[in-house]
Amino acid sequence: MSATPIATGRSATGIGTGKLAVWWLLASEIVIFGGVLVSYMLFRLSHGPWAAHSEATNLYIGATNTVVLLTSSFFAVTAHKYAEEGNGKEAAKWLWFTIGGAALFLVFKSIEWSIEIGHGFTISRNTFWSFYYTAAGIHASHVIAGALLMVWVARSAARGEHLHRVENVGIYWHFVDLVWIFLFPLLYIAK
Amino acid sequence: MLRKSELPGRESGPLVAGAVMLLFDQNLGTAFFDPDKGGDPVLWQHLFWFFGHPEVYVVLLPTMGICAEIIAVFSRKPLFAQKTILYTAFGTGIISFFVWAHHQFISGIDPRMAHIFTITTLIISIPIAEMCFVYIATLYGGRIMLTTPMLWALAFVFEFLIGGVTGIFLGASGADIYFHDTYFVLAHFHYTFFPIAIIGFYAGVTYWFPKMSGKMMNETLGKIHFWGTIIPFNGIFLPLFVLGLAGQHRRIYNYEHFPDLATPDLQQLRVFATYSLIVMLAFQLVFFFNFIKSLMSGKNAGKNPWDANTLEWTTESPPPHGNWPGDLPTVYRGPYEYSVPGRESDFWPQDQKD
Amino acid sequence: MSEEHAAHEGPSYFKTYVTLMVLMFLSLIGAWIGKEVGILAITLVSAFGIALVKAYLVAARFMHLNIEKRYIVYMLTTCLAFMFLFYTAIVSDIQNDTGANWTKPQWIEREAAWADGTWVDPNPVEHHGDEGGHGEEAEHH
Repeated sequence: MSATPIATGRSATGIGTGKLAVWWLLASEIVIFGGVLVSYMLFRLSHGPWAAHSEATNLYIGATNTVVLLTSSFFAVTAHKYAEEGNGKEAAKWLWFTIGGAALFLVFKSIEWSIEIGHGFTISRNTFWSFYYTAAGIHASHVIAGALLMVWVARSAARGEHLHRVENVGIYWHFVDLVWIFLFPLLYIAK
Repeated sequence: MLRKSELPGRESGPLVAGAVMLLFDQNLGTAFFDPDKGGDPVLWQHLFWFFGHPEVYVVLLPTMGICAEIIAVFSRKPLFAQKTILYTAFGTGIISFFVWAHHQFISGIDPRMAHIFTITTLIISIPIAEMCFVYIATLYGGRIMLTTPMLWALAFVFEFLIGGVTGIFLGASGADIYFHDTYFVLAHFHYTFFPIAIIGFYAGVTYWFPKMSGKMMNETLGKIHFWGTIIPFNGIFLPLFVLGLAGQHRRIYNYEHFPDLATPDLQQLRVFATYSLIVMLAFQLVFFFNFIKSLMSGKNAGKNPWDANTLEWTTESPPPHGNWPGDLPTVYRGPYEYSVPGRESDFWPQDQKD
Repeated sequence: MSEEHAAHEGPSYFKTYVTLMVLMFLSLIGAWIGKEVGILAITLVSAFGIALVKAYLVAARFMHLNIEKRYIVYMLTTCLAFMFLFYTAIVSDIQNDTGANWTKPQWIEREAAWADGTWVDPNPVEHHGDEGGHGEEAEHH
């Protein structure tokens, strides 16, 4: 009778497979977001007149969302600290706070987009808005996915199971925050 | 060991971005690639090919790994220059990120860029050619056993060399002005992709079928299938080189619109290619028959029907859950100890103490 | 099973968080100064420079890249390098409106109209009240 081999036990990479997988995923995400943002910069730096539309983004909601995401990142890393100590329940609690931050981000984003669409700034309006909605939209879909993942991880962490996943989902969440750290100046400040 | 697949996902990022942008352009009226609205279609090309070129090397490298294994086993010789193969595989993967615009030579890119991409494209042929030479060096002086998997691996080297060499013509931006969008391109990429995908697939399946199922495939049927695939394959795509040189471009639906291309001698080549295709497809039935019949009533394979040295051949066929029934084997030496001087047997299993 | 056993050392997460908040407000102030003084460079340098610092803090302290295995950092910076490669290789195609043997007539028309003020925005911006038209911003080459 053989014990089922545990992948981390035989790892030649020196870090757990789950964590390595998340880093691998993030490497791919860098080139995905990089593709969109490089394309945006190429167009923007050619100074088309549509660039004037960048005036219409709402700096205050953007800044609020930045605060929300940075705070949720802090919550996520706090959850990680408790998970490291083995305290599943505290970790789960802080993960739920992070999820709350994600939800708040999405609420503010919906409000912001409703206002903008109400003014007629739809995705097909011109090049600026195409990039704005596409980039922020891909980011928002990652926020949603991250929130759903964190729900799943929080539920098992509360039972004290799979506490290493708290760190892994945290790394993913910090990346989502990182992308926003660059999206914020790009879409809201650089006018 | 050599079955590495190249950096999955790293090159595909810009394509995912580009695909989302394309979907939005087509359905939501955005302005990424439409020049009337301020976009640029060449950006789509760049986004696609930045992924598209590394992609073909992603497909190539596993197959080269499979063929390296098979050639070593059936020459009863260690793989020549193993570390070099590893480093050239890595090097190829890295260089493959720097060649993508050779798909765009005549789409209006800056000719200075075209020069750079010509140079990198020609450079990347060097490591690949070197890997093929290493395979040939492995064969040299070996006790070659022409089993079905070996036939497929040898065919891979042969056909891929033809494909690769014709890629040199296309990779030179000057010559590509004539060749772009002709059947020469088609012949080139089929001569590369067919070996990578189809020949590699058959090589892998015929080699590992005994391990996966515990039964042997029928050798005679395997050889019939092999020759019935390879000869027609060349019959299909060799004429396409000639057609491309004669100026036949891609995507013609009615040759009557192009009387220069509707001459009888060119048409004969096309007809010959089509007949070869039909023959090749017919021979695939031999493979399916062989596969299913062997699954049902093939000879028992045992642990190591090919007397191979890599670790999978030390376990049962098919392997149980956890791969080995008992403890994991202790490994005493490398995987290529074939024909070690002074030993009776011509292979030395890794988990055998001495 | 996680590799880290005890809690690892390093600056406290809360301090890092406070730093991030301060930096964010600094970037807003920098943008405001840039707008008042009218020098775009101040806005851009402060916004993106601070963004880089924030990104470093999140990556090093929150994602623990400062104590992670080095090859992970190399892997991620390789991907960033690919993005730079992508940009520099295609900038001469995508950012220009003319090249060797090609032009983008729609772009050229638009620039010419912009230059002598005859460009009509097919989708005009609705003003929110704080800025005038599209004259000052987006200076073109």
